[in-house]
Amino acid sequence: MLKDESNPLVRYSTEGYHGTSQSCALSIKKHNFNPSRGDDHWLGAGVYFFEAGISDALENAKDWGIVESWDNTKRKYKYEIYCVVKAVIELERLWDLTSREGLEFFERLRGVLRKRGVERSDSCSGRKFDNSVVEFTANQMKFDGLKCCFFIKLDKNSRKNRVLPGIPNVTVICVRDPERCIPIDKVKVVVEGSVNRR
Amino acid sequence: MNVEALVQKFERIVFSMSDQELVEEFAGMGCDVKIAPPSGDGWTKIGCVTEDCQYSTRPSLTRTPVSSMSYAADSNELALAA
Repeated sequence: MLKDESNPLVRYSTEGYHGTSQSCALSIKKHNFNPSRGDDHWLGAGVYFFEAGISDALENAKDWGIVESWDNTKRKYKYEIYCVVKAVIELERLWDLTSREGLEFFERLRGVLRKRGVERSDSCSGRKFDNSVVEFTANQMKFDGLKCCFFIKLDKNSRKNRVLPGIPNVTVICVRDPERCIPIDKVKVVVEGSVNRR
Repeated sequence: MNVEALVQKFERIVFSMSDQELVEEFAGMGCDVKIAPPSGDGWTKIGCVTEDCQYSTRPSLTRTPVSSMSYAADSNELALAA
């Protein structure tokens, strides 16, 4: 990690693992990653990777690729073959929410928003509000990446039993501008397998 | 990471946005927010060092005439004369 003392944010290079379907992996290799959008992401819109930290990032991505293949609404698999894509990530302005300074900043900006009078409506959960605050801040401050630890359900039982523990089990990086931050020539498929293997 | 600089920059941005802009920004992320009137100016009165000041809210603060305040030459800090 390179720390630029003249810049309050962190320049950061790392490797990330992304679990997905085989067809998505082929598209990624040709066209690079496409930021996913939606209102239920942990750190807002972007491309999500597991990074070595709390647990084995490659295993996390494999597990994710497998559990994500199951469509619980339609009760069938969305795809048969999963892949893990490895990428080199080069960020200029990372907001590191695993560091003391990153967490202190988040707590301080909560105070700023409170002072400004921004409050969540009853229809918005506390978690969703926090996620939106993170994304709002990243948009306004032009961060190109975010890093945080979460608990993510990576096995069938966790999802089936709707486990919601508060202790994180993975380290996640969200890349907001993959075209600029992920060199496509260093994107590789490192694992390929059947979702029915386990 | 210089937290203070980031906070100040963020504060400037947030306070330059209108209520509607803030609501729309969050709505774009699928989050409904409301904007309450700001509660106070964020500053707490701690008293005054001018003579016969009637606004001191800290009993322990020594009231000293402004004329007897001096700067410490070596540390460049404000020193209140006893």
